[in-house]
Amino acid sequence: MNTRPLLEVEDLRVSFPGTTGEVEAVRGIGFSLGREKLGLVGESGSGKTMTGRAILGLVPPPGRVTARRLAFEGRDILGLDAAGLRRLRGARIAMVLQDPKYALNPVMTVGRQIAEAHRAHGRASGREAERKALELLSAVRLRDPERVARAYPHQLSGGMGQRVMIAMMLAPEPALLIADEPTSALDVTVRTQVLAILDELVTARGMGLLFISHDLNLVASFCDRVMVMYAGRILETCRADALSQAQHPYTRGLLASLPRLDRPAETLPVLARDPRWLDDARADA
Amino acid sequence: MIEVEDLAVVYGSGASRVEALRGVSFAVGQGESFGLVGESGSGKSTVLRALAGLEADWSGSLRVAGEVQGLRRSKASRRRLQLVFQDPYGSLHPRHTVDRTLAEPLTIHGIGERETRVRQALDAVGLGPAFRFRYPHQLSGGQRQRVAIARALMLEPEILLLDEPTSALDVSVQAEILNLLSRLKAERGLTVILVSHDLAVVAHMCRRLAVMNAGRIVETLSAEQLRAGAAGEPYTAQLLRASAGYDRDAARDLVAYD
Repeated sequence: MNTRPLLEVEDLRVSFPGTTGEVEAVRGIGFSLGREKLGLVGESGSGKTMTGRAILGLVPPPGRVTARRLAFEGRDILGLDAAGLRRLRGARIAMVLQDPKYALNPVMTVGRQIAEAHRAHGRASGREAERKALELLSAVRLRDPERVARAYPHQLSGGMGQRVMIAMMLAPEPALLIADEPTSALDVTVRTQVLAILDELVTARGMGLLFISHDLNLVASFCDRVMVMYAGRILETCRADALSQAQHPYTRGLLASLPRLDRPAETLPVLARDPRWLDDARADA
Repeated sequence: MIEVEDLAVVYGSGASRVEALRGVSFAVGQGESFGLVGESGSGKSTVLRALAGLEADWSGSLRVAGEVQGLRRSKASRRRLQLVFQDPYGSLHPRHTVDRTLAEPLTIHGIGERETRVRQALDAVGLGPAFRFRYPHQLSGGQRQRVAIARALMLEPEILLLDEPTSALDVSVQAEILNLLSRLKAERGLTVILVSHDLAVVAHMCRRLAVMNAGRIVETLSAEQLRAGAAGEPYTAQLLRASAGYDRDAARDLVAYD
């Protein structure tokens, strides 16, 4: 068994030119990801989405990505040219976004899109790709895969669309999946179903998952480990099931500000931000 | 204060006919906070829209402060009841300053003392006078929601209808807005209906709540019952379990309710 991490990140930085100099969205973070569910939590603007995009080489211009090391399966990603990145992206590393509406082609049936994703990265024949598409649709537990395959994206509900997108991303059997708020737009019961699919891929197929979310409780219950991001840095990393005992005052403050069913309160504690947190960064995860 | 009886709303006709609400009844007392929870499509927002007079067609009976509500609303009943939406970016005019947004309801209802009232409203939601001449894009999400709440308060309503007021906000900002709403509710004796998919938010804000599914109220229970997990209906039990976070066994046991 290969024990080398799937993804190694050291001193990753993402910056954008601003009117008053460079603005760093990600300010030197490091972590490694194995065949596990690794959560990345933070509030809006914390840099979590840019981290996911940087790994895939999807930071929009004029954004600039630098890192001491950004390696996937031991190979440097930053040094890859466009063709090399394309071979990696989709085939070995895939990404699931929050809103399937923007990721699916509105004028192509779902079945054709998945088949196309499969063919783009393999050498399957048309018929084989179609069969594979149906197989993937049933793998994401869509009740009537044949009907869904014939449907256009606008004919699907949010939860179905999200499952279709996951099916499409999984077509080339990636080793690493980056999921950016994959369930935020979904109802809780559908969320449970989508998470179960991701869970099975990690436990049964040994896929690595970077799960980007703003939802602390969800990450605590779903992931193996959690990284807490604030203002472009990782403040702390801990075991997901131990998130409630997190050490950093930011993490503690966030957790405290959540209303909880098991803890009635007249008023909710409001997070008081300490400027020193901007310079806090834990040792690499 | 609010009595809803056998409320039904139907969209479209023929094959595209959708029964958004199928006979919803509940009552909310004066100064009470009542929650409506459910998944998307359950009809919870439609109830608010019908109460606010934003639905073109409905059947059943709606009474607010004893007054029977028809399809068209009087100015007085519009003034009595105000709505706050989920997305303050969508509900604030992008090219109106905060001042203009807040003053508009006063103009419509012919109310004077514009200057004083705008200042007071900003103060009430914790925004200083410095925010008066800003545009929505110059505000953070939390500040925008404060402006939306201030606008709802301009006409000194007795009833506030809140449709997912914090679901677009970060949790630290959500806490601030929920605290603000609790304070305003207590200070002004407001009657509140809160629609949310977040059970913890509803339990925090409301004494009683109704669980909705597919256009019907599944059951009505108290916040204490919800906290204790004392669901009377399997649908509520499943919703509670799924809301608590990810659980491999719960995923296996999921049932579809229609």
